[in-house]
Amino acid sequence: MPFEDELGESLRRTGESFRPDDSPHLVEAGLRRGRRTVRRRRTAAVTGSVVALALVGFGGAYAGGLLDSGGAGGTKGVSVAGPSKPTPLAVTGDQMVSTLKSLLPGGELTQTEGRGTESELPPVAYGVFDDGKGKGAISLGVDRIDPASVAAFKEESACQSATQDTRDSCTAETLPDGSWLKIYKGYEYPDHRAETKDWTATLVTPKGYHVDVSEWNSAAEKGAPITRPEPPLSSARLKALVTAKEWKPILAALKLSGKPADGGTPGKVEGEPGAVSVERALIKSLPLNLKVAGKGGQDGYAFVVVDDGKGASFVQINVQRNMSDVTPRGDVTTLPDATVLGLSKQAGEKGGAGVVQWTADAVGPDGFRVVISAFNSNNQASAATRAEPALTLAALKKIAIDPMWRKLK
Amino acid sequence: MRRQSRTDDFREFAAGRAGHLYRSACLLTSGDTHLAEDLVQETLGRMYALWGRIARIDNPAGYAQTVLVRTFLAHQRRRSATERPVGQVPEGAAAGDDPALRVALLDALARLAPKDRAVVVLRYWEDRSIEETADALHVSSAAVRTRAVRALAKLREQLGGSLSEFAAL
Repeated sequence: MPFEDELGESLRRTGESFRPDDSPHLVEAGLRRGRRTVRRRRTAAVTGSVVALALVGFGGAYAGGLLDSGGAGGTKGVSVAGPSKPTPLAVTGDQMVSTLKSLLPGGELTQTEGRGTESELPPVAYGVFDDGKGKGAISLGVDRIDPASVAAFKEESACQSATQDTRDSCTAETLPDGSWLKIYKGYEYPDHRAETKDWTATLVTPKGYHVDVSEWNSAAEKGAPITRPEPPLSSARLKALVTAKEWKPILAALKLSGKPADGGTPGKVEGEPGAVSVERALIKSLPLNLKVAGKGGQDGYAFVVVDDGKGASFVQINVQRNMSDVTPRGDVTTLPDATVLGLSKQAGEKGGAGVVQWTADAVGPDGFRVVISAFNSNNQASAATRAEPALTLAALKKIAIDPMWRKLK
Repeated sequence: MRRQSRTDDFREFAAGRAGHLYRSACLLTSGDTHLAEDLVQETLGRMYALWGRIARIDNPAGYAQTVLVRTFLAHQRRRSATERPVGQVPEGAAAGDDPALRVALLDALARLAPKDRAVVVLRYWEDRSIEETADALHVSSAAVRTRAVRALAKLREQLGGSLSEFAAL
């Protein structure tokens, strides 16, 4: 049997041996996280906020985010030097560990592990710290963020009082040098199945130097007993640790790779345009007789409510990459540039009485997709307010195949 | 009313997929069942929020698997530390499986880079093609091939002939 087949068989046997302890719990917990995301999105749409989606930071739940974006928020990661070049390491794992050690108050750091620039992942130092009052795991990572993404990083990592667990605390401040510091005191398990505390401090400087530390009141992040009432380092200690000048030379030695890691940035699909630009571009492409009565969006998605004097009509658009597996529905044609275009008139999907949905769906040969739908109602879920949507199929098609979408950032 | 039907619809989907997602997550995390649970919850949360957006997904079950792998990789990048210590015996073994195989395979998986592990899981557990794997990971097909070759070589080196013994059982 070829090795690949043996491997497949072994994976199957091993995989099948895992059974969730509590499958209904997984479903309900997933549903709760999903609802939080939807609530946030709705708030963003209602207020027309530029902040399309708020993301909970490191404090426990890495909750929410753009669903089809493939990653929750957090580090707008730009990975450091790739793994393939046998050049001397810019930063070693030992260096990370010894730097961490030198910055901790009195006590012992054991079970240390360090990662330097040999990995695709950012450098990190890990250990179990004991100040004499019980062990606490600690993990500190550094990386470089594109300075142009610092604002977005802060926005995504900001404290979210609305979605935060009531038992968590989060504070953020801008330091005199312009750096941004967030301290999050939360729990390892958002569902409190164990009361392991997870405290984190996140620092990002205007240059994009990013230092992130987590500590636990247990000798391991997960699955170990609680060893002390609170993690070993106070807020002040955490702040001193991440702002220590000792990280500067290490950060300076890291490279910003020219483009995001080949997995793209976690918070956003690579190349998926931002909410505001999609919204603006959508409004610009609308026929001139339409008045915009409402708008909103998130990365790669925008909606407007338009009115041509005959009633409100809801219009929404998605701009996506890597969608070559999607086959447009309806009346399908292939354009000269190999874009597959589907035009359809369907009943609305969300149950509003008499609602129809007219859609133009264009998928390019490279998987670039623009899909726009117009409804004869101000909202998909409420009853029809007019006979037909305010945009014709021809108008929708014109917008869907506009090459302008590819240039949006 | 409407909200309820969306929720019911989703619950049905999630209940049907949770087990498989969990098993995939256990392989991705090389046996870290706690992290696997977190990843499944996060994946289901994302699927819920996606439920009913206009870009209807033709194959939600397959898409959920993709979301799971992306969530895992994002988590790896963000958390960046604390891989399960290599060699630790995985928890939660069900009766009747093959503990030796299980320990050996999970241990070998744990030694792979997270993205290589993702490639192995998508290719040989999910049976995805190179192209499908590349799409799921947002990388080129060439990158998937490179990773697959590298990962297989490492696994072969570690597991050697032991897999054929297991497979023959």
